[in-house]
Amino acid sequence: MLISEATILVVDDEPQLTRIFAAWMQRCGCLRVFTAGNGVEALEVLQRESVDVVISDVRMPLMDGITLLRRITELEMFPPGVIFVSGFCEIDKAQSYACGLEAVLTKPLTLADLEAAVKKSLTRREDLWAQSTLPAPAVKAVLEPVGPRQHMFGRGGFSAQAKTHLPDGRIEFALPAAGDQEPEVRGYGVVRWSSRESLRVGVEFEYLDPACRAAILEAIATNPGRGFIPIHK
Amino acid sequence: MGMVAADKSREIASEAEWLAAIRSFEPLDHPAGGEFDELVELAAQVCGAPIGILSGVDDQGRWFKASFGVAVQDTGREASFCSHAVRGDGLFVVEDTARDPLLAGTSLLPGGPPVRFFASMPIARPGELPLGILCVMDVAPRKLNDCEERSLGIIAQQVSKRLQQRFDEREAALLLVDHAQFKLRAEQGRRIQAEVDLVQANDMLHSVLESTLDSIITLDAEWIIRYMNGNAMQMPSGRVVGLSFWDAFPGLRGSIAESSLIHCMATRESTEYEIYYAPFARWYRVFANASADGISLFYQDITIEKELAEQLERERTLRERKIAALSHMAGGLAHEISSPLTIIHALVSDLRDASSTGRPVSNRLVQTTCQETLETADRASRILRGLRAFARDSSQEPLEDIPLARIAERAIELQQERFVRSLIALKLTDASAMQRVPCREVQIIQIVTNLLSNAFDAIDAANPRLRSVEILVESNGTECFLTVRDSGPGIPAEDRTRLMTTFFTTKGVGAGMGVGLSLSRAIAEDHKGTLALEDGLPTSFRLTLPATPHQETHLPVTQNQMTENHMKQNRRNAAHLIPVEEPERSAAAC
Repeated sequence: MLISEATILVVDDEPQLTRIFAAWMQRCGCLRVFTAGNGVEALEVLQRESVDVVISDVRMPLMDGITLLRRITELEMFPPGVIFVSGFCEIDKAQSYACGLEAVLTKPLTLADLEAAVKKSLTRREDLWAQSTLPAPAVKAVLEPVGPRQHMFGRGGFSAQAKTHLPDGRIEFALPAAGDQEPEVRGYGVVRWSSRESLRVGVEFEYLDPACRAAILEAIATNPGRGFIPIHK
Repeated sequence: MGMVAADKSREIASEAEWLAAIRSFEPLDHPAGGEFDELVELAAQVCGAPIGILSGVDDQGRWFKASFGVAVQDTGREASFCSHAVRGDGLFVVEDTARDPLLAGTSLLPGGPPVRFFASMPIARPGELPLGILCVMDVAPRKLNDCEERSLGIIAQQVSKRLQQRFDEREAALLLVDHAQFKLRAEQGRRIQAEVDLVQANDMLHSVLESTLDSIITLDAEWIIRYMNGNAMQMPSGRVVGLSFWDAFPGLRGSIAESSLIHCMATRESTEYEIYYAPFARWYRVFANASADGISLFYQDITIEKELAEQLERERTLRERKIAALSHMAGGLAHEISSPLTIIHALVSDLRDASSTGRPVSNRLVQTTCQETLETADRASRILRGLRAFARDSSQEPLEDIPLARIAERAIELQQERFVRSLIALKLTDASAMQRVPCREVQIIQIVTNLLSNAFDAIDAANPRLRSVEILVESNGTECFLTVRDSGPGIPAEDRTRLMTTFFTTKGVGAGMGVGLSLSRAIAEDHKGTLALEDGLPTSFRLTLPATPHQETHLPVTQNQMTENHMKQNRRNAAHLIPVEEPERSAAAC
């Protein structure tokens, strides 16, 4: 989706910030921008309007961003992308990405940061993951699947088992093939969260090898409510 | 007469030597008879005399050891001629006593027959003074022929030899006795030394037992107290020697002491334990060792050690709580600061973007951006000012008399942003006429901030319809009260009692450390005040502090001006859904 066709909802308990972010989105050419002062107001807007991307603060009165994110996932069959803009707040990243969170931006931030996140959210996955111009990441990692392969992939990436602790950052990954039905998955990604104890990692796709891209897109298309980076329970 | 006197003195002098010799010659003490009677008889028979005597003389008188033909036992020595005879070294003969000038008129044998003839040979050990004489007597004057003289001499020699032999036997016996006595003395010496050593060891043990700082109690196998050193007797129980240990120290039943000591008594294994003995209000470290017939207990009083450790622990806990409270506060304030910083960042970057397009930037845009930036920077400064109150340890600062209501105002200042944005009304009422309290301002601000923060969290979590927090400051002249009431749902009964304990928290991880209330109460108590949760609803925490006695200034009762401002701002902030199509309204919201 083009940004000029998009409807954006900005949620923050700072009226000045909602105004500024809204103005930025408008400057980026968004079709419509709504603002809300907290989660409760945001849900009211979402009931009325078809929103493509929600930009939300995390710490807010009445209903915080994490609760809002959970409610959105519960309510919507095809939920909008949610981008957190957080000042100083610990969030459970694994749970949030599994719920459908697409990005966490840190305050203070620039118009360019926000625009890039929104545009990425609006971009079709098949286009996004075909960007072969990206430089190759320095870190290479062979990951092991956790649970059945057909439940592994979400709208943004996958979680898997690493052999060593991987810090947040870009990696070139490989998931070994498992029989004819499950080809090897290769590509570039960004580690969004990782556990030192279990060595689990949550990886957002940046680029997917053409050999496996179609299979993953198909898996996502058949099961859209799976979140951004699913966690196998 | 002069001659006689001189002789007499010489006589006595030599007599003393003589007696000493006789005394050393113990065999003469043996009862009369036996072997010497036969030799005396032989001497008399050989000489053809009716009387034979073997005698020695001592300073008490002459005595006969053996005799023949006479039964006389004693004669006065002065009257004796034996003393004369004995001092010679050969045969002494008086053929007719009646014609002898020395013996005339004396009776040789008082109570016996009159003696006219006397012949004697001295009895002596070779080269020594004579010990006595062997003599023969006759009632008629006569002479001894050569054969008789010679026979008398031989018999006297035999007597001497026999005496010498007996002397040697006696010497040998004496040596044996001496040796035995020596051994006995040596043994006695050793025993005495051992006793001395024992006494010294006892003294040393005693002084060790008495000089040690420990209290020492020994028990026999029946748990009877057999010994207490001085320190042990200084214990409040006093001297309880002879009593059952368990009766003397009744508080020990059921304690670690009972199990440890019974084990020690049964297994003879040493044991060590620490115990707080409540009746004495003392801590003891006890070493129990099996002794020969029971156990010995060494009590170290470790009360001071324990108190120091506890004090250190209390201080450490308080310090940790302070740090935890500070880090919690710091996290909250950092979040508060990040918003204005983001706004300033965005405002300025917008202005930069506008100026970099090449088109002229309107004066109005520059002015509004600058104005907003300044206001937002001021807001950040206010938060930082609040942070300053927590940035230093004020616990050692002197007390100052400050109106409690003013402190409440400052605490509100710190939190106003959060309350305003969360649409929680914050109201301060001073009914104390600015009553002053002696306090460390920063610490009381910390208490009020903590109470406000709790109230905020209670409302934020429960999301009640009515969102308000009220601070009421009152005074009765001697005490000053600050009550914080919130419109939250209240605190469950089961949590009320645990509320003030350290690290108790009902909040989720990260939301709070559960350190605030216990720390706040500690600060209140440090100010000789209290902090209590009042019963029922609404949830009210009441801080009570002693009031400053003499109030110099009387300020009117004020309704905090800031409160009014808050309410206005709250109304302004009541969030609207502002479509961007309505920029005027959006702009008005700031």
